[in-house]
Amino acid sequence: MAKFPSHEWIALFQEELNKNAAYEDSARTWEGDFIFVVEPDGPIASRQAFYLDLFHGKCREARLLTNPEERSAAYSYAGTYSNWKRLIQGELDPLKALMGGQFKLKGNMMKIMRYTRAAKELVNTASRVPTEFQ
Amino acid sequence: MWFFTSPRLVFGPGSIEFLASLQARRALLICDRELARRGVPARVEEHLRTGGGEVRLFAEVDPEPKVSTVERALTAAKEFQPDVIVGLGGGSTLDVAKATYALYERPDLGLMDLHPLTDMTLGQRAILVGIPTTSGTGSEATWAVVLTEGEGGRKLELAHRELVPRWAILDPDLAATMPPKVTTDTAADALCHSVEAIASDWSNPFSDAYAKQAVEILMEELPRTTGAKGVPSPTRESLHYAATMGGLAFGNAQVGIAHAMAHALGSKFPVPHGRASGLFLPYSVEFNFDAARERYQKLRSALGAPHVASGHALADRIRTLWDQVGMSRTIPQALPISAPDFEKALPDLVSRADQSTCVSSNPRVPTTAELERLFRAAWNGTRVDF
Repeated sequence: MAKFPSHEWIALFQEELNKNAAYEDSARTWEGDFIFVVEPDGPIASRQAFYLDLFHGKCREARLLTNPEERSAAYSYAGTYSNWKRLIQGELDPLKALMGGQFKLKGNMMKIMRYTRAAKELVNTASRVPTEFQ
Repeated sequence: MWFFTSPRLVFGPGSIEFLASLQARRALLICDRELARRGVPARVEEHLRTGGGEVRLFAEVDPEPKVSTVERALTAAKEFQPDVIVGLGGGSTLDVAKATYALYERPDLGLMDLHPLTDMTLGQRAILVGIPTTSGTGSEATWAVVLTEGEGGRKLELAHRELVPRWAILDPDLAATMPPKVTTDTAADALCHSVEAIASDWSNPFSDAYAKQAVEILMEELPRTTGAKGVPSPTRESLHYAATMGGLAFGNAQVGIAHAMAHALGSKFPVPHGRASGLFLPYSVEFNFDAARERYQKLRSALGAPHVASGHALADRIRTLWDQVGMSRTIPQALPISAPDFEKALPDLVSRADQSTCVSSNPRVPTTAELERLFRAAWNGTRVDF
């Protein structure tokens, strides 16, 4: 079990993602890095962020940033800790959550709309990581 | 958290007279060439002019409209400065009207900005009215716009909640001149919208209510469209309303892989959209059934319990209906392409379907290999057993 968010969790996530054939198939032409931002609420008192370098169906780099502004990326996907918890537990659809305003996306929306299957697989992968919420 | 978005509906035979009450000063009326040739816009213009307003007709919409069509309509809107924009026609025309309206309202935006996350605040300069003349697309009730990027290009699937027209006028008299084959094709599209909305991961109690009612009407009325005396008026009226119900259902719950595949096929070959979505529906139901068994049970009252017992049973019920009304069950029945041409196009068809936004809310998300098998099944007319 790994706590969310933590270095251990993102390492497990990267491992799971790189084993996920469905993700690899759906994102085989995707090029673009992400910052996943966890906005504080509930037990989380400060903003936290993960960096993910996603390229042609693989995750080349994944790490917890010490400071959310430490680096930029093509996309950022941000939501509160409570909504991340619901997303990882499969209670929220990643795209529906965007349209409902529970998550905010920055980046080229038209490009990402062509990879909705990959977005779903990213979330499905997160659901497979043995996660302990704080 | 989710939303249910709907236009204000005006319905009934002769309901286009409602247009007079809008008291338009300048109304831009958008339609297709064929409708203009048949003189249909004149019936609408008469009511728009009642209050002394001017009307400008833009009758340049073609089937499978391109981005360039919107650009020309937008030029007309900028010159004319309408306070009412009316889309009169089938899905292609309504989609052009919706995109034109958005870009006229917001000249700082481009087509690529018409996605759900853009802050829009439309309705400052004009109101949008959708008047369907076919009974199937449901576009008058949805937030979606589908355009083609150039000749043989991909389908651009655009959407924003504010693209739903302020008013939708459902006057079944306007659909009375629809040729029988168009009636069947468009009604098949409405059935596809409704069944896919029921099965969608985004389905909700409100979309389900409209979808169930639409399926019930369509299953009952569609076989009555093929009689020698043409389509009876009560059937015409019921189909016209059912199409909008289907639009309200999928507009608030999304469609699925039958539409993803239909958009891909329609972007490569000249096939009416309703014929394409209808032909793919049974295959998608067979593919999805185990992932959405509970949702399909909501169709029990409309179809009868034995027909929702399995994916094959439900698909066969739809295939029987298609046989009754002369709908295509396979790709070769729907359009005259050779097997080598199909094989050549297949990788692109799979890629385009895979990248459709319709895939993500489908209850079972297909891999590219599964999409290829689905296209092959629809080519050969074989059951989906994977």
